[in-house]
Amino acid sequence: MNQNHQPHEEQKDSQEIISAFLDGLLTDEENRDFLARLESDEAARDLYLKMMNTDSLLQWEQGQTESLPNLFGLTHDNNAVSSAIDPGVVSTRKQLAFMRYALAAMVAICLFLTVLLVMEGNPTQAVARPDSSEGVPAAMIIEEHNTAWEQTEWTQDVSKPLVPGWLKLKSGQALIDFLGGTTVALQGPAELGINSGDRAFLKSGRLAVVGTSRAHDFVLTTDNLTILSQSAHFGLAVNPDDQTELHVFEGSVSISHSQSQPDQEIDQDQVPETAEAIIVEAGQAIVFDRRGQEVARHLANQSEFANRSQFSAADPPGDIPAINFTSHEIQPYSFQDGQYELPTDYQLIERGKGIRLWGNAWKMLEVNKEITPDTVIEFDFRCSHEGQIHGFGFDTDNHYDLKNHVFQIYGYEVRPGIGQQFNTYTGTGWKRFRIRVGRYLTGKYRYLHFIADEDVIARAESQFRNVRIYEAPTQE
Amino acid sequence: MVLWRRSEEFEAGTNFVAWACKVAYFQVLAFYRDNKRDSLVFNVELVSMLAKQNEEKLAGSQDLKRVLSRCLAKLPEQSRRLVQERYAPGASVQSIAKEQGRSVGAVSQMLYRIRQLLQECVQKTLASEQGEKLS
Repeated sequence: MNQNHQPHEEQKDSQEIISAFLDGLLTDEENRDFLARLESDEAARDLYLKMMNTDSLLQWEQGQTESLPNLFGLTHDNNAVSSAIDPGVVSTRKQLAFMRYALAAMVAICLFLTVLLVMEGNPTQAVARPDSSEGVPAAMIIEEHNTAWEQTEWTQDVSKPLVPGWLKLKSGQALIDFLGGTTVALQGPAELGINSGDRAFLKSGRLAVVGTSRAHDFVLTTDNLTILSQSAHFGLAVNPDDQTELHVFEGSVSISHSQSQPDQEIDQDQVPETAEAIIVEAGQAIVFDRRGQEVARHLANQSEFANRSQFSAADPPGDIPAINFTSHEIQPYSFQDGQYELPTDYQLIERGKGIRLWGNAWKMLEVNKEITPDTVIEFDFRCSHEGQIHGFGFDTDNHYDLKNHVFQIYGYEVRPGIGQQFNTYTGTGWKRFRIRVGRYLTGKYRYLHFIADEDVIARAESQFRNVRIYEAPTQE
Repeated sequence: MVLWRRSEEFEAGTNFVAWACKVAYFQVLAFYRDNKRDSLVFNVELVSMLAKQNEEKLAGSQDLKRVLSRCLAKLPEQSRRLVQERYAPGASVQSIAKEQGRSVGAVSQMLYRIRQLLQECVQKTLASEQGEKLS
């Protein structure tokens, strides 16, 4: 596209592109460019939404707003005329059409219910009840010990990624990774509301923050208190008598009175107002009464709470051989390897028991693994030059898309869709990682890839060795 | 149906449209989540950005609907017919082009100009109504 356009001409061009997009007439490449522009350009999004809303209303006016299930089925006639078109293009168009229809459906549904509301006059007073069908994944249960979960209409399926909603643990212990980078050990009986990847509400019971990736905020609330932690380790108990105990083990936390019941309505966007905060340092414990007033101070007692070591994934059963890299063909993974024509390379280390990558490198090897909920990957990692993303991932093919799942263990970039809960590497020495990947993905995965990503100056370096993939059932 | 099922959760006195859109938005995100393995090229973040940015626009959606009807009525007959054809069940630019013996590009250009006209008309009318309210 011509870069010397005046703003008016740019808008005209944008309108033309959006119009073609709405009609499903963009090529695959144009679609990609358009989506990239939407992601980065607020004005383009604004214009797109104006035209999208108008388009949706035109559909509505014509009575063409189909039910969501059919829309998702995407049996639009547009596809019938494109027999000569590359299937990839058709596929992308289907997906583009889905997005359009999804948003159109949102508009249509909103308008329809607005009309209903006007007709209804006085809607029923609400009681907020979190629903597991809502929201994007915020956390994951990665280990369980003798757990019994209470299944109710308002709790969610603990075998899936956790979205904003409630967990009720009747007994046992569970280790929960919040995707923002905090790991929490929950002890039953307990009721925990998950608000987002870095926010939770403890209604009752006991939990401990047992792990955090590098500096980030985690907010934990109770009926009366808001605890802000910047990578601290601490324990919190909401006792049956409504007393709340806070024990800080590492770092410090800020604690303040919340608005009344700030997070009981599980909502990702809620930011409760807080009053003056007090700082609680490592080694201190404070007991608060049911109104959130301090009633006692004493020394923190870590033994009252679960700790990380109680949850470590089992050792490999027997002598599971590490991947011998010399017997695999190391291939570039997707466009990511050497992206932007940056250098990428690798070498095998430790007589084939390890691999070193550098530059802007994403290298893969064929493993053909059936990943089950019990699958664990174990390896040693070290790094001498931090890049944007260091880690590994599984994929069914050589295309970087949503079928790929990346686990980041180091790197300064926080990228949407890549959890930070394992981003815990520090220093330059070897560190062992053991990750229950089966909690995040299951099924047949053909490729395992390793990452030393640095899209700017290509100076990332990653070393992996003693890579083992094995089955380790959790202790039920 | 999801909104209807969850209608009792709506709190009187709050922004209904925002609430309704939020539920719809979460359903879209849930769909994305559940179909993550279907090689969808969209990322959730883009949908999220669009949905959030759209909330404000939807607050005035009733006005938009009304004004759009007026603007549609102002279109030349041929253009109005093309709009009807475009949004008829199962219609596509290709099918219209075939039926009218035109190229897809020509029909696309016509639709683009109609959308441009509608967009200008809607913006002007809304702005003028807003001006009248303020004066």
